Amino acid sequence: MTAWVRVVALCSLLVMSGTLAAWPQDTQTWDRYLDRPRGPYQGQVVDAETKAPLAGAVVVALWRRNRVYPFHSVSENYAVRETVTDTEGRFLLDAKDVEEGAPRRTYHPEFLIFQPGYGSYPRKYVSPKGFTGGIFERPGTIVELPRLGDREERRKHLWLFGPHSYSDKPFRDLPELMRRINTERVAIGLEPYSPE
Amino acid sequence: MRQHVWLAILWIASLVSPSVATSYEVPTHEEITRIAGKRSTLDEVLRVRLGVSNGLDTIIRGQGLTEWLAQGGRREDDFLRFLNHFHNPLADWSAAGLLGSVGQSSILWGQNATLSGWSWQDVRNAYFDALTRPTRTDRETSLARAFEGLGRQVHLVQDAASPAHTRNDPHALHNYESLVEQVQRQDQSAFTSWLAGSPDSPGVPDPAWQALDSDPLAPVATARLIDTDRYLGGNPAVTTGALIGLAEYTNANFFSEDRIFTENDIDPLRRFPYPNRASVTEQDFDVVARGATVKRRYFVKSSDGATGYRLATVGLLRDYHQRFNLDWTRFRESPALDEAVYRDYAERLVPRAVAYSAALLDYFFRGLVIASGDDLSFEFVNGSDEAMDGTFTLYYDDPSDVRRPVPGAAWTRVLAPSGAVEDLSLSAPTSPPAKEPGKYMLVFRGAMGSEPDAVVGRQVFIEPMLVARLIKRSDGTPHRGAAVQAIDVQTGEVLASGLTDQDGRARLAWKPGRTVLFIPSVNLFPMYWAGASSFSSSIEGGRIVQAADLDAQREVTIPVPLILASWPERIEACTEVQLFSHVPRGTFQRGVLLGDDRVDLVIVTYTSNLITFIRDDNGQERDLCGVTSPACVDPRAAFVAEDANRVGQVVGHLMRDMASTHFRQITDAGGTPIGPHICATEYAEVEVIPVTVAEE
Repeated sequence: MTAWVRVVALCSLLVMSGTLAAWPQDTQTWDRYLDRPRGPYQGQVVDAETKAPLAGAVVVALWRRNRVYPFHSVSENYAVRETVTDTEGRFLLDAKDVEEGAPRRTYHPEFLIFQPGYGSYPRKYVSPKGFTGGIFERPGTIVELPRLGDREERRKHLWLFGPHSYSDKPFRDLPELMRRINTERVAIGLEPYSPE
Repeated sequence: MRQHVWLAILWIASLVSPSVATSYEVPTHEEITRIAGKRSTLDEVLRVRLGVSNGLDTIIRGQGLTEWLAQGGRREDDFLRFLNHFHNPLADWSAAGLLGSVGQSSILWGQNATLSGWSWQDVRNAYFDALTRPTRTDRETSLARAFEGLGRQVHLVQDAASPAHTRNDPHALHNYESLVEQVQRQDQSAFTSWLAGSPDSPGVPDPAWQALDSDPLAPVATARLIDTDRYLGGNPAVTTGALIGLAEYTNANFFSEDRIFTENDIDPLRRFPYPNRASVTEQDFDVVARGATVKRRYFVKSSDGATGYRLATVGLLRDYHQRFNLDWTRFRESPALDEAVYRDYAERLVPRAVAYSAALLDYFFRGLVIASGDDLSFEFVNGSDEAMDGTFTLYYDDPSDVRRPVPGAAWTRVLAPSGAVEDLSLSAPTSPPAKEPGKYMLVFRGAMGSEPDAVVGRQVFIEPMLVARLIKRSDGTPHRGAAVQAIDVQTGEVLASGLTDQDGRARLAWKPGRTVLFIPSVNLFPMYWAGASSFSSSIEGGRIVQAADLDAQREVTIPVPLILASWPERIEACTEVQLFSHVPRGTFQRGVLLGDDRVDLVIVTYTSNLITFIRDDNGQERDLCGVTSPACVDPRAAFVAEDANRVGQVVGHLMRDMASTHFRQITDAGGTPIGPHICATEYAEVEVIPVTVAEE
């Protein structure tokens, strides 16, 4: 087989697989992309030990999109939103504007829940365990965060996520998150972030 | 031609497929990199070896160092760079990249200082700049760049834990990496357990990888984290050991989407000997599909290297093939890789991606130099396991945080492990002086082990020392056993204390530009050296020791006078001894043989009701003794250091309320008086006597 025949054959195969199969292994459970607006997102955040609601925890939703370039596709941040839990530890994050205008291949949002002194979701939390896709699309989800121990545990916990993973301008886009991260940093004797 | 063909394929494919030739998804790389950073020694290295007090929590240009590391893990997949993230461990490294020649082997890419922009050597250069650049801003920016570069380096290692990247597979469409990313996103507890690895099989590489022979194409040993050249295509068992490259382990034990049972493929770019059909057995497993539990048959890896996991699904036509004994070469069974297979893969590959990444980070900072001593005599030791052949240079920060090389403090040496450079000396920088005297950054640059241009940094403390030599001002002989201290004028802290030796010398740590010398007890009063042979009673009046005060041996010679107090005493006419005595209660007795057994006996009793010393300069009065005192204090106790500069001058007066009895009698040898006493006189008097400073 000549090289060009192989090119044509492979391209044909790819076209077929890309147009007809359309992610044949993506089940409803594991679908990656938003097929329609899924928000608002809601839940409750509690202390894992006392089950007391955690008021003032920040909830960040990050939408990434898979952008295709010649030769390449990369995952890029598309939009980010944040909200804060109320006195009952509940949050409601309306994302209609984000999701209605979302481009193709926008992923379901990723969430970060953070309260100073506590482990964060999804890096260090207690429950819910197991599959968590879409858990904030329906009511009744309770996220239990564990209180962290000594300074060392708290500072190493902060290594597991960073505000710049969510936004290039976190002070502009995520002021509540930055406030809480800085509260945590100061509490354990670290220099706070400051706007660039 | 061949390269162009494949580039064309990839370009067309990229237009129709959402994912072509990506590695682990960006968020996955980021999280693996963060965990590797946490598991590595980076934080300790920063805090303990480099003196970066906040370690990984240090913020540079708005981002923490963990974020710079993670950013590198993220950005290495930027446009077209990903084409160089493949390595086929069974190919010659020069042709081990994607499809042989579309991209460069990830090993070569990681050390390609010409094209990569983030090669190992680029990262080394950034680290060197982080240690040596003059301005603090430049140093911090370079450190951030070094960390981003390390993130990019570990990205390449992580890709070696992706089967497609080791099996020449551009792997379009849904694949292992996208499944891992989905689990990371939606089943964090499973992903966390992958990151942690199994205690029984943590996937940590045998440290011996660092000592394997280097390949001239990529001489830095990190190449061996990816490919040790120990798996040669016919010995898959070797891949289960800890001394194996990650690409070798992945290649020999896992499939990628388009490289399943390709041991007999006619295309050498697709042909991989293991795993093969002899490496597997078949077994049914329960799997959940759309909410229902069903049986699915899998090929389970049962030999030829790693075993005990699902390698691929058995194709639907497998039974058909067996029943009719079809010719394998004319029949495509189509085994596939499903979620369960991918999860089994990830359980083994993700922890290795973490462990090998952490190993690379630790390797970058493996160099260790230990310094001890002071600047009069210090040494540094190669604390590494590898020889160091290069230049060791000391840097210091001036008060404006400008980092400068210490003049004359660069040594080019070859040091075997544990080898030392001894008996070095150093002149503490003075122009400008150090912001923190004694604190230096020792930077090595040169060959270390197989790495031709390594960089090692270590914050060291080499205390500046001086020798204070105390001699007697009167005759130049040494003051032996005299206490002397170096005191920080800014804080009052005693930097060092010592006693002079037989030659009058004491070695003292000091801080150039902020140290005065204190001599507490040569005289009865404390003295701060004020330059030459003058002294001050206050630290403010002390001389801050200057480099010019020290000779070539870093010695400052201080002529210290032994100060006495002198005042006139009257002689009593009859007894011819002192009328009064500077003791609170005392008796003087003298017998002079006169011949013919007679003795001229004198007995004097002294009483000091009160003696005070009044300084002339400030009128301060101090009681030296009284009727209840067992002894009188020497007037020098009321002297001050400045009095050492006033030898011959009257500095005060004694006010004495004294009494005495003078008795003189001729006696026989037995003490019996002969005749009347010559005199028996009582005196009681208050007198004022000038006191002059004298020198012994």
